[in-house]
This record gives sequence, C-alpha cells and structure tokens, in this order.
Amino acid sequence: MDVATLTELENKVTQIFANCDDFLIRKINAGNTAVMFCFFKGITQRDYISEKLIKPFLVHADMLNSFSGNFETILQSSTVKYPPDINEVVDGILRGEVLIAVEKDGTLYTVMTNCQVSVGRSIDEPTSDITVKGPKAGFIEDAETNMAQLRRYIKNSSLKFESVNIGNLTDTKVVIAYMEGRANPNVIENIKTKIKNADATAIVDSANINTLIDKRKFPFFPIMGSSEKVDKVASKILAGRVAIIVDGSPFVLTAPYVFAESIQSSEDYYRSTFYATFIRCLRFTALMVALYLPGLLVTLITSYNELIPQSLYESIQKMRADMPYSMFWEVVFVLIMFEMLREVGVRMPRSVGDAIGIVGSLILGDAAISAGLASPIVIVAIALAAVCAFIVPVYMYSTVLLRILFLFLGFKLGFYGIILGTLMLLFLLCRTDSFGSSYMTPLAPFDKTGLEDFLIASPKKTLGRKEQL
Amino acid sequence: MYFLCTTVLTASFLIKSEFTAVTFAVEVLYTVAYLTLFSVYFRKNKDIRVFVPLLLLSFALHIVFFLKELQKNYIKGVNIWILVGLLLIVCIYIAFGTSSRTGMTAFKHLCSPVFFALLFLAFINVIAGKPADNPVVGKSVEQYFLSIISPPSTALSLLYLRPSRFYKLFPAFMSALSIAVFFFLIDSPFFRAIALNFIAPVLISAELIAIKETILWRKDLLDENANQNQS
Repeated sequence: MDVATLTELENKVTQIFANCDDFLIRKINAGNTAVMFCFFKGITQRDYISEKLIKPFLVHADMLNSFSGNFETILQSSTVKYPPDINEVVDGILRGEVLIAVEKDGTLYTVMTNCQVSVGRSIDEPTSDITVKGPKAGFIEDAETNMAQLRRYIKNSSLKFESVNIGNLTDTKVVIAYMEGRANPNVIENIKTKIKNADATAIVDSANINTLIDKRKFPFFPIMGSSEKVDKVASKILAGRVAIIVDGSPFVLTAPYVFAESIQSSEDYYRSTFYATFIRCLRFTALMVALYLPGLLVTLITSYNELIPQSLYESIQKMRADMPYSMFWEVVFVLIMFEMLREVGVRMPRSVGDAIGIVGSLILGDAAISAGLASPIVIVAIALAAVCAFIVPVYMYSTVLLRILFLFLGFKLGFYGIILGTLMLLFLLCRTDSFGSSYMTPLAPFDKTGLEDFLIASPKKTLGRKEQL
Repeated sequence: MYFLCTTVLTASFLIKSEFTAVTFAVEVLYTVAYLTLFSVYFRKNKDIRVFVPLLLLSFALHIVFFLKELQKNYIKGVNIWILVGLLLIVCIYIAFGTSSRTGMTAFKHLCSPVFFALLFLAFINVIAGKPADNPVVGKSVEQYFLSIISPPSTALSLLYLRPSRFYKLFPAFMSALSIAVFFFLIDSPFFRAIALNFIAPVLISAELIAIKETILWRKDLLDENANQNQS
C-alpha cells in the first residue's frame, strides 16, 4: 500500500470522493486502536456493516493488542482481500466493498470486504419474449442475480462464468457464461478478446457490448441474440452458445446467432410438435408478408393486374376512383403514417402510448379513407404487413427498411426488381457470419440434422442436443 | 455440392427451356458432353485462361437473351440499359461483394436457399400451369447459337466452382433436368417468369466469378481448384 498512516489514507479517500454525499467514513476506537471504515451507503448493506464488521472490532478489542494484520480472526465476513494500492481501494469502494483500515504501532493495515447490496427490482416476468406456457422468470439489472438464475437452471460444474470490467468511466462488470465442452472454444476466446480489447468509455447496456463486438460496416442483421428470459438463455447455453451478461442490463446476449433462431420461441419446446411447427411456419410466412406485401401490392395493381381476379381488380379500382395520387405514393403515405404512430406509441408513457396507438390508428385510418387520402385495401395491406413484422421482433427494424426498398423496386421494375432485390438479400444473408457460424445455417450450408429444429419443431429429437454450428 | 450443381445447371437449362424443344435437347446433350470433356481436361491441366473468351461471350449472351426475353414478355416501359445495369450490379455484388477470399463460399451457400425457392416455384408451376405449347423448332438462329455456346461455359463455371468428375454430379444433373422438364412441359407464365428471374442471375454470377478469378489470375486459387479437381 502506497499510504503510510491512517490520516494520510483518510485524506486521500476524502479527496478522491470529495462532494460525494453518499460516501461515508466511520471511525471507531477499539480499545486504544483507531479503526476506519469507508463505504458508499447506497450500495452497501448497513446492517451487515454494523453487525459483522464494526461490532466484532468493539467486542474483540483485546485481540487488537497483538494485531499484526490478520483480519480473518476478527471479521465475520466470507470475502476479504488485501488491496495492494489506493486504486484497488477506490475501485473496490465503488463496487460496494467496505475498506477497513487499522493503524497499529505505526503500521497501517487495510482490508476490503464485499458488502454489496442488490439495487433494483426483484425477479419479474420480462416485458419482451412473453410466453403463455413455460417459466416466467426474467433477468434483472443485477449481473450476480442473473448468474444465480442461470446456475439454478444448469446445476453443472461445466457452466462457467468469467467476469471482466470494462468502460473507462462506468467500470461495468461483463460476465461471459458458457458450458465447457459444449461451447466452441474459438468463439469463447474470440468474444473474450474482443471484450477485453474494447476501448469503451461507458457501458450502460448489453446493446453497447453488441456494438463493440460487431465490427461489420453494415450491421443490418444482428449476429448476437438478446433475451430477457432465463430459460431461453439457459437453453442456448446448453446448446453450445456463449452468453454475455452485462451488469445494469436485463438483456443477456447470446452468440453465435443464426437466422433460424429468429423464428424460434422458447414456448415451441413446451407445446405439441405439430402446433409448434405450424406456428414456426406461420412466423416465417409473416416475415415474408411483412417484407413483400406492400411491394407486391403496388406491383400487382400497377403492372400485373391480369394476375389478380378481375372482380377484385375492379373493386380495388372503384375504391381508388377518387384518389388524387398513384398507388405507390398512397402506400408510401400510409407506411410513413404507420411508422410515425408506432414511434409515438413506443416513446409515450405506456398508458398514453397504448391509447394513442389504438385511437390514432383507428381514427386516422378511418379519416384517411373518408378524406380520400388512402383506400381501404392499402390500409389493410399496410396494417397486415406492419403487424406481421412484430411476429419476428429481431428483424423489426430491418424489415421496415427492406419493405420500403422492395416497394420501390416493385414500383420501378415490377417483379424483376423484387426478385433481384431478393437475390441480393439472400446473398447478403448467406455471406453473413456470426462468430464463425454461417448465418443461414442449417439452410446454407445445408445441414439435414439442423433442419429438425428450423421450421420443424421436434423437441423429442433435439432436446439437450448440442447444435452443430 | 448438390445444391450448387443443381442450381447452376437448372439455370442453364431453364433459360433454354424458354426457347424450343430442339434447343433444349441440344443444350442437355452438349452439357453432358462438355462436363465429361472438362472433367478430363481439369484432371491434367490447371489453366482455364484459354477459355476466358468463351466465358465472356457466354456471359454477354446470357445477359442479352435473359433481358430480351424479359422485356419481350414481362417488363414494359423500362429502358433496357437500366435493366442491364441492375442485373450487373446484382451479379457483380454476388461475385465480388464478399470479404471472403474468393466469393465462392458465399455463392455456394446462396445456392441452397435458391434451390428451395426454385423447387417451391416448380411445385406451384405444376399445380397452377397447363401443358405447355412449345415449338419443336424455332425460327431464330440466335437460340441455336446460344445452345452451343452456353453449355461449355456452364460446365466450366461448375467445374471451377466445385471441381468434381461428371459421375459425381450425376444426381445434381438429373435433379436439374427434372426441374427444367417440369417448367418445359407445364407452363404457368407468371411462375415460370419468376423462376427465370430468380435463377438467371445465379448462372450469370457463376460465370462472372469464374471470369473474375481467371482474369485476376491468382495462382494460389487456381492451384487450389486444380488440387480439388484432381482429388
């Protein structure tokens, strides 16, 4: 320790934590020995400090007469560590540890003990990834609680947690969780290296880690999964994925992440095989509808009207008889209107946002039809496409952009444009790589075994199996 | 390998199935002959630079015929150069737009989803279509010219992308032939057009990859392909 006396130490920490009202220094005289305790009151357990740290010094004051720095004989704490320098002291105090300093016969003895209190909410049902059947527990903002929750699911010594602190200002704890023997060692090493080498000023959420790790120029599709559900992350760890827990975030990242996971839900494994398969096919279809419906609608009505039934075409033409602009601009108008309403619904407080979402959509939709600004067929198509995008939340934002792209291609070049766009999209997906795993696996490269858990849900065959990524 | 070969071969057959029975039959026979010949050639030789003019000619012909067919039947009122430009952008992106060393890996991966999409389209074509009324002999000489030029470039691209002997490609060859025959015998113009739209850029991209890597002349790549070919 680079500080010689108790007074010098007190001055140093007081200077470092100046103007920190939540910082406390408590000094006691145990017999004729001065003992100092330094901690932050909001993040430490005050009862624990009184009962297990301060009281033993007062009760066993006689032990200090022959004290030579061995704190374990006095303290009733499970974790004690001896800080080598003042930096370690400062870091420890900031993490919720208590500094105990004793000056005896001109020698300063210091020790740090963990008294961190969990600040935040209790374990609750997550707001995303909601399921009807299956476990309800979700992750919370405390990394240690999240680790404990995973440990409760996987009672196996192969489940490893490795922590590292990053962020120059926030010093955030990031935990890498994996199953030894099941996770790919290269992926573990790759993630560890990237996290350790990340030059970040502040880490406040797991999304920041995602940004730091993902070095692609155009990160259009996510290469890391994100979930609030404990059972889902536990299953992924068991399947050989690496999880990243960030202190302060209820979203746990998993890697590698492939396209097939976007249409899977943890509930698929708790339901009948047939129904789960049907739902997965439905999700895939919904993704296609969300992407292509507006573009196809414009293409069919403007360029290929011979392909739709005559009666339907006539009915659409009647609806659009008084429309002042083309089908393309009508679709663009309704699409933008919907995106605005969606954004308002998300940003407003929940109670107001829901009301605005429902009332705004109904009233504005109806008013737009009455005012001759949009036809019912367009409102129905856009609403369906927009709602379908929510079925696969991972691609919600990518879908919005791609939908507009396909709309434009369909308008300008008809099916030729849409198909060329699709080919480019497919190629983009096929060249995407998630930590050494092909993004489109098991479809590309083709893997017959992997298909058992792609569109088909076959829990009996796949339960507990390690995925060949 | 199966998906790559089936997709590229189907693309080649499908373009010719747009024409006449004779051009289609000639295409199939020539493809068999050239696949056999080139697999023998690649067993002893590494250099494919001598075939670059052939590849370039075929590449240009495929673009022209594909777009002419499209513009004649399906795309109206759009400048042909815009269509050519867009097609080239897509094909160049597929051939060059990857960080991997050759672009082949991503292209090979692309082939399996394209194959499934094609299978889906063939299925709908059969359900929705009616017996096709294809002429036996066509009036255009260009069709016959393309039927002679196209097979060697398809065989070259195929053997360059996934070097193998012809007998190993036989399941893929038969699958491609079956899909093409379905499209040839049963015609649902809309789904046939979509299939053609979908698959023609794949064939053109395959040729472009072969041209790109031959012109760029990277010995390590050619050696690697030749080694795979001989194994």
